[in-house]
Amino acid sequence: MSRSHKEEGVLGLFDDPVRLIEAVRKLRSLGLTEFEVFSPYAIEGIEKAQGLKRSLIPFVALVFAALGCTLGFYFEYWTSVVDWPLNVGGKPYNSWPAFVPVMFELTVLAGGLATFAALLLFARLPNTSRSALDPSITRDRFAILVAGMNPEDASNLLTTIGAREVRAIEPRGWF
Amino acid sequence: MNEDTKLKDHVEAREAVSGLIQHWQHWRGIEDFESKVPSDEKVTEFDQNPFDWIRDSTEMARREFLTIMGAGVAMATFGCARRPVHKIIPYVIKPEEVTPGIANWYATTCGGCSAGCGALVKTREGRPIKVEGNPKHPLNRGALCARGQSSIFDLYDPDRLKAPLAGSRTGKRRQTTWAEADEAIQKRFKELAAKKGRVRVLSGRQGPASRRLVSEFLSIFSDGEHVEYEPLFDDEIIEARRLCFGHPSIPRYRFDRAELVISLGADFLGTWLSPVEFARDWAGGRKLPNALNGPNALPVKATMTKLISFEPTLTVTGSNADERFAIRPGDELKIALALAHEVVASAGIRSGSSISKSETLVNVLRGYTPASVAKEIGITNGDLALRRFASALVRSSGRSLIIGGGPQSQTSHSLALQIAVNLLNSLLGNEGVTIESDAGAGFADRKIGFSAVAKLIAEMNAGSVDALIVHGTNPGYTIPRLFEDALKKVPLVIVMSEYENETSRHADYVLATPHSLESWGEAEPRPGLRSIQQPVIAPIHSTRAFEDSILLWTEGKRPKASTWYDYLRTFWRNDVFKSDRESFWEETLRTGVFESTPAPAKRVEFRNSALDRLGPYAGTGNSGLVFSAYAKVSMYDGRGANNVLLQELPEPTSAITWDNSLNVAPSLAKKLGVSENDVLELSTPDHAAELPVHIQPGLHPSVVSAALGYGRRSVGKIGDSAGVDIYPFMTVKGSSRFYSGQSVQLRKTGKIYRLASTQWHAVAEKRPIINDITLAQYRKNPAASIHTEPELRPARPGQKLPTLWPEHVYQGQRWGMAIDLNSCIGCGSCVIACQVENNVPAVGRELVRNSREMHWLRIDRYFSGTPERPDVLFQPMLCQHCGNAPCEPVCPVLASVHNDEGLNLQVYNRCVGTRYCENNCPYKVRRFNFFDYWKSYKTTMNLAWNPDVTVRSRGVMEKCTFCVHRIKGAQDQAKDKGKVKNGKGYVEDGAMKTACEQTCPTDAIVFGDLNDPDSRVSKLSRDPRAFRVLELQNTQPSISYLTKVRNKDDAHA
Amino acid sequence: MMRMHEILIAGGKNAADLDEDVARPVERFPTRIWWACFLSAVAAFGLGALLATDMFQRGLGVLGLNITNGWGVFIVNFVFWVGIGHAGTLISAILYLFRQRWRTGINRTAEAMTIFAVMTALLFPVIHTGRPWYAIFWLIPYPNERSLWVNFRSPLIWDVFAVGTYFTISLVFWFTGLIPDLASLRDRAKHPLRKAVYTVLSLGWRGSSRNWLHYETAYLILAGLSTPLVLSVHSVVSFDFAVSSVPGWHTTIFPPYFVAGAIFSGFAMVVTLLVITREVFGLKDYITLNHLEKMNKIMLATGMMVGYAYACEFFIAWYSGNAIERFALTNRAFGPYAWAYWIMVACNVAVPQIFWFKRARRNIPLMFIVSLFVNIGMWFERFVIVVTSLHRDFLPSSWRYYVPTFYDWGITLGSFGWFFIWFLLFVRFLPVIAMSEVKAVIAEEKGDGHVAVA
Repeated sequence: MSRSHKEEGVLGLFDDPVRLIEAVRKLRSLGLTEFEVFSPYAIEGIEKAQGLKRSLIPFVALVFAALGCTLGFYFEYWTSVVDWPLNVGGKPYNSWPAFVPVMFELTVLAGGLATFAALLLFARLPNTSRSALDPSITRDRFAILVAGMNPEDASNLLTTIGAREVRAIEPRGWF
Repeated sequence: MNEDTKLKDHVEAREAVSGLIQHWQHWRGIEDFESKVPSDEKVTEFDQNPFDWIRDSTEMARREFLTIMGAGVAMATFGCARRPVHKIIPYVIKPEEVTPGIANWYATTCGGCSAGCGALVKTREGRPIKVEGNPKHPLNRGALCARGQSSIFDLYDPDRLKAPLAGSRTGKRRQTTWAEADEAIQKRFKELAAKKGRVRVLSGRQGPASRRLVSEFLSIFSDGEHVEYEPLFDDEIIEARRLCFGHPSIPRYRFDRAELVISLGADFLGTWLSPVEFARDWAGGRKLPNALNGPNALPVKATMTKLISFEPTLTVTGSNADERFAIRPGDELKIALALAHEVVASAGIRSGSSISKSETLVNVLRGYTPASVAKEIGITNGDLALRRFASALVRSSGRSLIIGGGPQSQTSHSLALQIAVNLLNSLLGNEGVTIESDAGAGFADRKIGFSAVAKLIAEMNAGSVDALIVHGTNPGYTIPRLFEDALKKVPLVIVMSEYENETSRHADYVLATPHSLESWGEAEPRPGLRSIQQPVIAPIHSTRAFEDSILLWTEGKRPKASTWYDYLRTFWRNDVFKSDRESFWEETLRTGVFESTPAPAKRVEFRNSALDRLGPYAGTGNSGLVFSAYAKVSMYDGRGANNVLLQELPEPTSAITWDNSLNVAPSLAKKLGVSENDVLELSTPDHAAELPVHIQPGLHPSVVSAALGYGRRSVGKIGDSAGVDIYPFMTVKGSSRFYSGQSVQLRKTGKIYRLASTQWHAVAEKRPIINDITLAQYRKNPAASIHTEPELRPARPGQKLPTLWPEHVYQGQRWGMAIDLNSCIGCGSCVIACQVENNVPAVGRELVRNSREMHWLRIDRYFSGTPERPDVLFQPMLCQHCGNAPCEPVCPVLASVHNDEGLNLQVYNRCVGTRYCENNCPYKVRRFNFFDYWKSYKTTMNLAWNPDVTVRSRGVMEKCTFCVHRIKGAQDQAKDKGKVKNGKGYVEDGAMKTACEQTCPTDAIVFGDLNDPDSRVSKLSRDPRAFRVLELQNTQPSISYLTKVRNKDDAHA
Repeated sequence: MMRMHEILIAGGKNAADLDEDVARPVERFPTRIWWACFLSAVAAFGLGALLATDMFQRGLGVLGLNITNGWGVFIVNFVFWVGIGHAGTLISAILYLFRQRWRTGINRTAEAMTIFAVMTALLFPVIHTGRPWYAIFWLIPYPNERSLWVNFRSPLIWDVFAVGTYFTISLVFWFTGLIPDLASLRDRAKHPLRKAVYTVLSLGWRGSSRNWLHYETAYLILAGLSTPLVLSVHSVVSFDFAVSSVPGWHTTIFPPYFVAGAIFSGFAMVVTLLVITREVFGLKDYITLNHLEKMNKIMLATGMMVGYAYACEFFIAWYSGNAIERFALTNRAFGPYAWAYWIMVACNVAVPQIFWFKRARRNIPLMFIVSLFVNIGMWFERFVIVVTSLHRDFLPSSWRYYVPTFYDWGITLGSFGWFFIWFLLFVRFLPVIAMSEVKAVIAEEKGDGHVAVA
């Protein structure tokens, strides 16, 4: 069966999360993998049903936080001990206790920004080549997009697993 | 836009103005430079303050500018030789005695008052920028008072007369030319000379040369007289000495020989006769043994000159007295005679004095028993005190000194008081020892003092004066109404003055005279001591010296001398050097002073006839409110009223600036139900004025006092707005005038006037910031009552204290200071010296009210004891240059850091003005530029800036730098001499002095190298009396203070 | 389950109603009330800006500051606004970590308030300096040809980093939370321009489960990072005082004391704003009495912490035996500025005690008034700390009195204008309620979320 490149896939809309999760389970029991699930809010348990792996974001955050901390101290040490040592209030050049607050702030800053960057990266945002599938999804409806299957089979399949409404989706950019 | 570039432009402009022409480009661009002077439209922050005039003051005219340019170059070219300037020479041809950036110093005589202290004037590229005491001058020995220090600002005062004026007396003035004026005046004089005109010259105290000159001038006329008048001068002293010793004179008071001084109202440390000389002498006897005067000097054996003071208002002298009593003006006489009574009664009198046996004396003194006197003047256990003092006097006969006088105790009893003082000193054999009466130049031949003026006024009123020349004194202000009315009856009045003043308003001609730094002159502070006054800059304005005018008008009569300069030289050759050797003159110009061996002090005998002037004991005078006028250190007789620095110098005892107040005792204030700043109406039968109340501890409950010298009606934009005139309260009886002793009424006005005070809280709250003990305590334990945390004081010298982190080590020299509170008299000369040296701006009354005064060095004043008899403590407070400076760690941009010489630096360019350092400074010595203060220094004022010190812009913090520019200068000099220690020039101890140290009359301040164990400062900082302020904060200040010791008899401490 | 239903979302609203209700103010032309508020805010800001400009031209002398009182109303405002900022992050981060579902109704508004408050606070450290045109650069350690660096020992530099970080992270956190809601606004949008704007802002969010997975994780981490951050920020601000040597500032209790105070004032401000918002935009069903009551409880608690701190300061001062320290505190309560001190105590300690009563906690007008009192009280707390400590420190010779001028007050008013300008723009253009989160809650409460129950 040849896979149409014209279509992004077939979308099946559901009304409540419970049905959705059942449907997802069914699809996977049929050995189907090339489908995506959409919801107006995060449904807990869906990732289990869909068999998604844990996000890598925590590791990214950890690495950058650590980096922010160490670089922070290095910078403070270099400026006040190596590059421009000054007698300030009789304190030693390396007054490390005084350097801690800035180290901390830099830790959080680096960690936080990295987290956000990672989110955009992993979630492939912003992606101008794709726009909303159906306005109702961000309101109160749920959906499954089946790709890489011929439209008829897909729609039949979706209706059988309880989709209230089924339609093919043209790939569409933002504007 | 960027402040710094503005500032740069301004500084350039200034330098151009000052004739500092280092690069010919500068020179070529005069026109440009004028546009560079920042225009002052934008200066609006000084609304309602004395600096308003900056807005209407016009920029310097080009002509004026050229004059100054000429002046600068002329100076540069001819040094101090006084020659007219015709052309200006660019610096490419550098006069050999001027090196750009290196100061030239010239010796001259201070014109601050009539004392005649020697001065050294620092000029940069021909521009005088600072007046300092002349160390070679026997009178002041390097020190100078606040008035002397600030006189440089008078030189550059934009309100000065810039040209001669003529015009009707209704006040309509027109500028005239000298030629025009001379022609008219000489015509009048010719007529007068022809028809036996009566001409009078009224002047301040004059030197011998100009006295002779005047007499020669007057000799043209059939009837001419020269009268000298100094408003705050005690004529009674002269008169009394005539009566007592047959020899009218002002004796020389030798405080250095006295071990017991009793002052009856005389403020000899602040304003009386020759305060700097007296302060120096007196302080000498107050120095306590320390490492400086030999290790053998032991505290146990320590002695100190004792000072006892009876005075109506709290003056500098009173606040430094070991025992002080607040009295009513006029009671001084009774006290003096009560003391005499005891002295005579006691057996201890040396038989030498025949007086004690005289019948009249016994009759006079009979009534003046300590008991009755003490009871009358209202001092609790006063009789005991008086007896105690009398026996003390007897014990130190010949080594004691009793003085009296000054405006605050100048009453109808004044003459009697002086006689009584002479009597006491004679009884005790002080005459000839602590009081040197000169045989030489007496006052016999001089018409001096108010008696002479009174006679003059009478003549004027009688219409028997055809012409009056007034110079160097301002009777229109100091003898209000009386003299002004009399002036109206004189057909020709010529006033020669630096300012349009109260007298000149009634003059036909006002001839602008130069400042003392612009003209030749001389002073004879005491017989045999001649002090020369040489000009250090050509006249900035079109002015002419009084003597030059007189000479000119005398012309034809005696063609000998063409100018006053020549006249003076001739006079000195014939009368002073008595030799033709040029070297004398040269040498004198170099040292500024010439001392001939004075005629030996002759032994004087007290004439009992004088005793007739002392009436027998008369019961109490008035018991109501009595008024006492006094002179402030800053305002003196009012001549300095237009000087910003003086106006903003806090009165030592009240901390009030810019105004005079009505001082009342706390008890009286309670009785009247008034509080600080309430405006009261003070009235005598013939005058009334409204003054704001200041509640002053140490006043007699029935005395109110106010300072003279304020309320100038016509002097300039600064002086006219300051305070209330007190001279009208002066009472004139016959040929004498009294400032004090009038009985007065007070009336509440319900108004409030906020006095601009620099210290609101006068009690130290038992905090470890200041320390004083009695002599007895000191003998037992020199370190008595010094409050320090034990862990902050090493148990034994050199022991290291525990620290959290390794301390920084200072290899080379580490600068520090020691301030002896026992010597500091709080006179404030250091404050002004610091201001002039470091370009510290005055901010004006309104900003002082908002506590934004800029003084880098202030003098804190604390009271202890009771409100009736307070003990006063003065503490000079400046940046402590702490080893662990709290201001430094908090500065976000590292604008406040330490250098390797232990100086706490403030980097103006880097400072962004968070004011965190100021908050964190326990001593609150940092000063913030809330506005662009330099903008208020207009036209000629700009010439006063010290080019070695940055002028700070708005928004930056500033503070004492330990005169870092002087340190660097000294280091360079040392380097040139090859004295180098790790890379830097090594400054020998005492080779460099800070401005405050340099001018201190009592040597209270010592600056030097703490790393050198033998330097004076490190010796003093090891003295047992040494303590650091707030030592418990462990800021480790570089300044040590030495405990104040009071010479009280402990039983009565 | 049923209980939660009653508590969090009233009126049996469902997700669609929610969108309707929340989007309504965004999609229709602003009301008269909004315009009135907005214009007066602009006016207030205008006045402040005018005075500030004049101040830049003439110098700081126009303020009431003097040599003894180096800091005044400006620093008070700085601390006050930073404090306000704390409730937002606290609600969104800490309550999130504790899985407090009730936060969803209010966290969006609180976070927005945080950001605007911090933006307001940041004005003051800059304009209070003598030379702001330099301060704005020189406090940042950027490489420069003279290789001048900043002083990392100075609490002011800590401030730069702390407040800067706080602002950045809060902004990121806030925006992350907004993405799905922006998407739903986009999908509702009719007007092409509006659609375009929201399309860009929502970064093309589609709500796929993978994205939700990353999203949730990122959100959790940001929450985790913000929690210590929010505690650190006001600690650092308190260092400005605690690190110095000024008696009355030099106190170890300051960090916790400041944080408690910050949360206290922050919640007060949230209550003030929410009571208005829910009224004006008819969001009573989502911001319910229960939400408000919970916040009132927190105010009661933090209020008492602050009260404890006040007492503790006195005890420590007495216990230290340091005469100067003792004086500083005595002077605070009975000195020239006693009036300020007692205003503070009355507003912060006495007034909130009324929240012991449930009826009081659930009485809208009452809680509104109380929240205003607390705001005032907390402003005065900072005033008391800054001014009374400075005006009488070590040397009695430099004791002075500080009186703010018209400029101080005018610029303070301006800062409120600035804050409300931003806040009003927010309620006008962005969803004031975290829709996607509330939807999850609705789902739970509908009961069809048995899978969703955590």
